[in-house]
Amino acid sequence: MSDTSIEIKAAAPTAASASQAIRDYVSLLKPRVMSLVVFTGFAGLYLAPGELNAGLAAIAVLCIAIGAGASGAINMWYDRDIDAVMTRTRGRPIPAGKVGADEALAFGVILSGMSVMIMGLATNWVAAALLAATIGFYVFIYTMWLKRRTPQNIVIGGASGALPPVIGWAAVTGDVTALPLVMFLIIFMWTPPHFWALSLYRSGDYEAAGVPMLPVVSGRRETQKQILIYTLLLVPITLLPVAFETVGMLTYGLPAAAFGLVFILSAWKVFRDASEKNCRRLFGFSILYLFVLFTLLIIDQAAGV
Amino acid sequence: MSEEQKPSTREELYTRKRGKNLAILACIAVFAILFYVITILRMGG
Repeated sequence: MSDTSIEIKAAAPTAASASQAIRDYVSLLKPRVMSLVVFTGFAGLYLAPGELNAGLAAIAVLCIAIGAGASGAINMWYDRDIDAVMTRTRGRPIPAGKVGADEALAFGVILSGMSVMIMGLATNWVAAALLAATIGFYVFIYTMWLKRRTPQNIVIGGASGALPPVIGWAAVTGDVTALPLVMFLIIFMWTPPHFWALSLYRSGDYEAAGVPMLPVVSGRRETQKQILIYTLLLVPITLLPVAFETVGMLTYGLPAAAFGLVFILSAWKVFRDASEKNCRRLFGFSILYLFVLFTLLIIDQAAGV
Repeated sequence: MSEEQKPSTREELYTRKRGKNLAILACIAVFAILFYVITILRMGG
């Protein structure tokens, strides 16, 4: 019988392996998605009446970022089977074998709890409750329930992405009023054309993974129509702050209307021809559009001070 | 449900565990630091 003593080769601790681990765990948080969440959360905080210590405000925005990232990590844990199939996502840390599934789940859960608790301690428990609701909605309602069951998944699930400005607002005031709800509505109505533009040129990926995105279930033509309809509904909603007389026409109304027209034009191009080029352009412009809208709101507020 | 790639060597296993431990350590450190910062800011008014 041969000697079967086990040689334990410890992994040599290197700066490279530690930095790679950090990069892998950070990528679990979906940093590109997080940037939009952080910005809209900051916008809600900035636009809210009242004052919040700058340090606590920064911590509140950090909590929104961490909470969003945590829900992204849990989403990656739950969807690791789909991610392994889809071209767009197979390089993610779990399907690529860089982070274990249980480790990703633990990381997401710890960050979720941490972000909610810190938010409550730094600001108030209304904001903390809204953050907890956002994380819970994204994980349980969108990821675990809707995503694999209905083509309306991102319509309803988009509510979680629309809550950050409400959280930011509540962090300052402790309550929710009309303007944060309008900001919620803007992002909620923006989400479908944004994601459906992506799904039009990635429909093969979603079909292979068995995800019932609208192009897979109802076809490309129906998706093109729905993108246009939602865009036509979205643009007037973005002008509601003007109707409520909470923003200026020059600083917000006219530029928002101009960008809205460009968005409608992009959606019309996709309606006429859902080529990959048109869909990519619409997807890219939709991100710019949302950033511009919230930037205009911030500029309007700053100009009015 | 397909399996994610499991570590094929002990080195990979230890590297992955080390990564997990570093991530959790970072979370705890950030949590502690934020707790202190919040306390100081709130006491400062």
